Amino acid sequence: MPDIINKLVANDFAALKGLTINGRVPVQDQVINELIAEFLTRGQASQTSTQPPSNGGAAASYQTDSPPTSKPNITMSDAIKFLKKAEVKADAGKVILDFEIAI
Amino acid sequence: MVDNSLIKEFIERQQAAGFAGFQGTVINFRLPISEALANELVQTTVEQRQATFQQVQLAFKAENHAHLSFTVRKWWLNQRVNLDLIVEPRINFPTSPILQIRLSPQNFLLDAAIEFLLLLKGQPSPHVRARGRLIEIDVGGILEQQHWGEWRRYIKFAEVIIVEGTLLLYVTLEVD
Repeated sequence: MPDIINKLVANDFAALKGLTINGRVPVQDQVINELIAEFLTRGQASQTSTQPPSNGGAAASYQTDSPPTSKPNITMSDAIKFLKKAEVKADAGKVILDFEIAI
Repeated sequence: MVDNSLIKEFIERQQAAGFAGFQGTVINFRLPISEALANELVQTTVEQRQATFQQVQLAFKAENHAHLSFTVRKWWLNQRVNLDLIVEPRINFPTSPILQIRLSPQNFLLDAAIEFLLLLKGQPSPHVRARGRLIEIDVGGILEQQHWGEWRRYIKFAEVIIVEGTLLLYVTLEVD
């Protein structure tokens, strides 16, 4: 199955021509604040960890040499290019996202 | 740049909380699956796991009719089987998430053969049942087997429409 998904990604999802996903997602402000806090915390953490690893980069090469996982390799940019519509509205205590994705 | 792990962890946390912060969400999916892609999926899942069935071919006809053919190779048996199938469009999530497929009347004599084929593994598949001309695929059970069971409750509507050469899958997710 991961091979099939990777093939779909490599062919720019051509085999799924006609796919549409649309929806309305109301998100409570509390959830958005949580996400922003997490995003900022991660950003600060990555800025403070600028020192190279003491083992001369072994950690990085471990990542590269690790065996390939069986999970499909889909990134956000693979999906976001098919985004046809995105509208954000604010309501009492909520942010409402209307979106449409089409291939 | 959006960090994938951040999003993954965020979704996992929200899932654990039953997506309470997303109450009112409605997402509609329309997924067309071509014959070529469906065959690739079927061949991957059936042939790799069950060597008894080979050269599986699926064709989508109009009006929810499909044609399935495969070769059965087991012991002395080497038989090409052709089945005309009628797919019931609605899958009743979340009360009874079962896809019903009927053998067309001309396949009547194959009823017993189908049951036999399902038993060839030594034990029947827990997610596929054959009763007379009716084959039932427990989609909910398959989702659970694939560790997607928790998403079942958000699927409020699922429909399978077959038109010539394509299978259209319509799914609606709701957080209520």
